[in-house]
Amino acid sequence: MISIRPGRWPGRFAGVTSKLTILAVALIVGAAIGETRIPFQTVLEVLANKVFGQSFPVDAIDQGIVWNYRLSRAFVAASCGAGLAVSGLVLQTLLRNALADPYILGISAGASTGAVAVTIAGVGGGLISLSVGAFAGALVAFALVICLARMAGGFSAASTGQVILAGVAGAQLFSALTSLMIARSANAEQARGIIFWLLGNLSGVRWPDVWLATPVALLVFLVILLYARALDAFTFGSDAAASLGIEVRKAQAVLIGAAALVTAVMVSIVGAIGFVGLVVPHAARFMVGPQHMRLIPVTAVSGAVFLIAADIASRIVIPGQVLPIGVVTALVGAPAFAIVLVVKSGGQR
Amino acid sequence: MILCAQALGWTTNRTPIVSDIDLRIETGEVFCLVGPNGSGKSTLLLLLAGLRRATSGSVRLGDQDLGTFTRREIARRIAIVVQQLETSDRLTVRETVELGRTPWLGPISPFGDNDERIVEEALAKTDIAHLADRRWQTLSGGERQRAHIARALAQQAEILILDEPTNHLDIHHQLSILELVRTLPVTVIMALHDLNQAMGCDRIGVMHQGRLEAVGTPSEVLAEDRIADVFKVAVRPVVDPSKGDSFLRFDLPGRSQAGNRP
Repeated sequence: MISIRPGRWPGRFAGVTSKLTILAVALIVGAAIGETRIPFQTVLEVLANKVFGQSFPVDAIDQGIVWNYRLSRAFVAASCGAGLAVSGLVLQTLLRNALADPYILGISAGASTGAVAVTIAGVGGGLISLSVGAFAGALVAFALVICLARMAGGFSAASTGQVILAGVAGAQLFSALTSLMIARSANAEQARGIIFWLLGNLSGVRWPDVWLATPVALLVFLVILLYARALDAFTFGSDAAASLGIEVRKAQAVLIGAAALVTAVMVSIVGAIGFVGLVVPHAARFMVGPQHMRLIPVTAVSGAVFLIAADIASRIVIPGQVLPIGVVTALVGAPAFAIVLVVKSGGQR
Repeated sequence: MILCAQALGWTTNRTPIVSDIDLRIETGEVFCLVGPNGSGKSTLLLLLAGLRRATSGSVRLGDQDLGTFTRREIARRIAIVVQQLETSDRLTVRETVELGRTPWLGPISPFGDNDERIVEEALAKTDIAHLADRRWQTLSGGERQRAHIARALAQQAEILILDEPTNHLDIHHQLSILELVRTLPVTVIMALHDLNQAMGCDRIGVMHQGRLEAVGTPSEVLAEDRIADVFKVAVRPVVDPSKGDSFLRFDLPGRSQAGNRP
């Protein structure tokens, strides 16, 4: 009997192909749907013209909308969704807590604070310095959460609840700091821009953002995939992981660093988008079970598709108006969060 | 492979938890640690498995200091099952046991036929093959303990360390786990609370207040005055008339040992 088990090479090849197909379809749908609907054929023709140097006759305005606005936007949404979802998965596994995610642990709030500080101080200018500010903020926030949690009882299995509480406290603190900075220093126009951006906003996204978001998402995805077995080994806690041959501190440093990096970069581009990191890993676990070699790719693709879908919804739910994408993810995510709470507490043992 | 502790000690928050442990575990023996709660058994097991770094003295595996091995190298030689390993993940028994192959697999190398065979063997040896596809949350305490032992067996380590493997188990599963570990072709080091069960081991180490009070065969070590001193109980060996061997009967000190028990 020939068995194609996922994890063997034939199974993996099939898995990779199907996931890439899903991703490609989502990107094309994202580029086709919007205020003005553009036929899929036109999207494909634009792609052929731009990527493969073909010369299909396409309306110049359509071509501009598809290429300059929607496709770049779909790529950033996909990178962001994948990055945040995988980052949430890593945090949930390492902290052994179903409610861990970069938003709830205050990493997103810290990144926002860092990015706002850079915006208002006007250091450097441009995307990279904003990302550096967001990254520094994310690391400070996460370090704070870890210190608080350690002081409150360490990282033992019994105290992962403390980590979440520490994260909630940290998130509040950083939101307050951000508000303070906006109130004190920003002019009215800056303030409105920043607030819109804090809710998550893909409107201003162009190709340079893609060149930052997509490579970072891919890099972090690959690094985390290399640690799939290590993440499995954390199922029964860090001592159990060490007894299975995992260098626990190194693995934690690399994985948390990767999660913080991807969160920081994404927040610096599109603002703080909540609930993706929380909800998508649970949905993925529901689909393929707890083994990370399967879970990580499915989480990444689901996160990408989820955020592309949320972005489409943000553009078409209210005609003539674009909602902040964070509003859409929260409207879907908050009920999902409640379901996770109920299922986790009711479904245990 | 011989596992040795030399003047081993571990201190946390300036409180010595274990100190001055000198111990040599021979290849293939079943060695048992006994001692009251808080006597340092679990900490000593973690030190022997390299999961805690000694604050004084050393652990040697073969002729090398344990600290010179990588975690992966240790995991291929020493497997440990500590107490109360729990998860909220909905993984199956088979997936749990497959974790035991971690030290033998590269980051992206797929699970091979050989790995699968080893996992099947571990499931069969611990008598849980019929539970292979059950989810963790549906298992009883005894089944979880056996799954953990199967995971440790799948590690194919020469030394198996178990911290109170019979804890929370009914008497049938206690006896079947002890029977299993005695028949395994590996060195076994375990902590046990039941002194009568410890009598079935090759050698016993008695821990008391972080120190190793005595090491030897059961009859050498489990003397009445030592048990009275370490465990604060009165003990009386009773001979089983049907088999001719003796077991220990305990009472609180000062109480009459016969007659007036409720």
